[in-house]
Amino acid sequence: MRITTWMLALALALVLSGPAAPSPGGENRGPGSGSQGPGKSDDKNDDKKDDQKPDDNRGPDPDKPEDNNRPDDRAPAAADAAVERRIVMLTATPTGAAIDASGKAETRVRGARQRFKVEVEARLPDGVVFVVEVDGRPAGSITLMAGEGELEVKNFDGMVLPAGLDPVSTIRRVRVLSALGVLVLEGSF
Amino acid sequence: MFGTRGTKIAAIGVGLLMTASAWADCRRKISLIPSSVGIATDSSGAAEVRAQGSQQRFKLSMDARVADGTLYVVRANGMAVGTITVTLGDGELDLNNNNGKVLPAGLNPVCSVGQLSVTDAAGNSVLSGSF
Repeated sequence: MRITTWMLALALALVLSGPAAPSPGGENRGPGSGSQGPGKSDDKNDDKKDDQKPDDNRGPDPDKPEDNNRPDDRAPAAADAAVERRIVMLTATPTGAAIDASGKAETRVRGARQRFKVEVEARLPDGVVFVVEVDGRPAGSITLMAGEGELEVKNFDGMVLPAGLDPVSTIRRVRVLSALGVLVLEGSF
Repeated sequence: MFGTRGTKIAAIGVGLLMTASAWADCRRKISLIPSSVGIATDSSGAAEVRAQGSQQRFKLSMDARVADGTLYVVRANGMAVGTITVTLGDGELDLNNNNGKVLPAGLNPVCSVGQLSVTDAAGNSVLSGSF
């Protein structure tokens, strides 16, 4: 009789104390978690976190100059998401091959800012001039120095894109000709 | 004896002449003449060459009633030497050999520049002139 009473009392005590005892892997993770509904204090903490971390969704500041020194094989960053970039390697014609000519063309658009660039290398003396044609229209010239030269046109920093290059994203064919009009390099985006 | 001295004097004279020719100073300015295409766009322009000692400069400035971004090719003695992109109705090509810069082959030396022409993107002559 005494044993039965004790056993009942113990069983009752176990039943009553069960929910209060933490169990491994249980769902009671303490304050601030679970579906406790909206709370002002947690919202404030979240706001603080948002203020402290950079806002990747804002995108690049169009007024800041581009970082041209970053390596091309860098990991894609959110800040670069808005940059549209196209590059084409130019092919040498027989005339170009005779002077070891090589080059590449690049278009870059970030927001309203546009840039078109052509780089040329050739085994020719300083001062040799090449004319760059884009889709059949002259876009500028390159004067060689130490075997290389480049043309860069853009629509910012006080510069105006030559007619026919705006928008640069529609540029297709790029040709580089000698000062006398002989085709040296060509390529298409 | 006189013959040797005479040869030396002659050699020095030739050397001086060659030096003078290599470092010939010049300063010329011309107004460019518009073609019918140039007249249609109210184009006008002027070109200037200047050399003093080893310093050389070429400048061609032009006005035209065309849209911003209109591009012209400048040729000297038949060779392309640069381009001009018009902004607010004017533009210029200003080239020199200061601070290690290199003059385009068709402009070096600037004192030997003769025929000048400015052509539009379609290859039409717009302005021309001769020093």
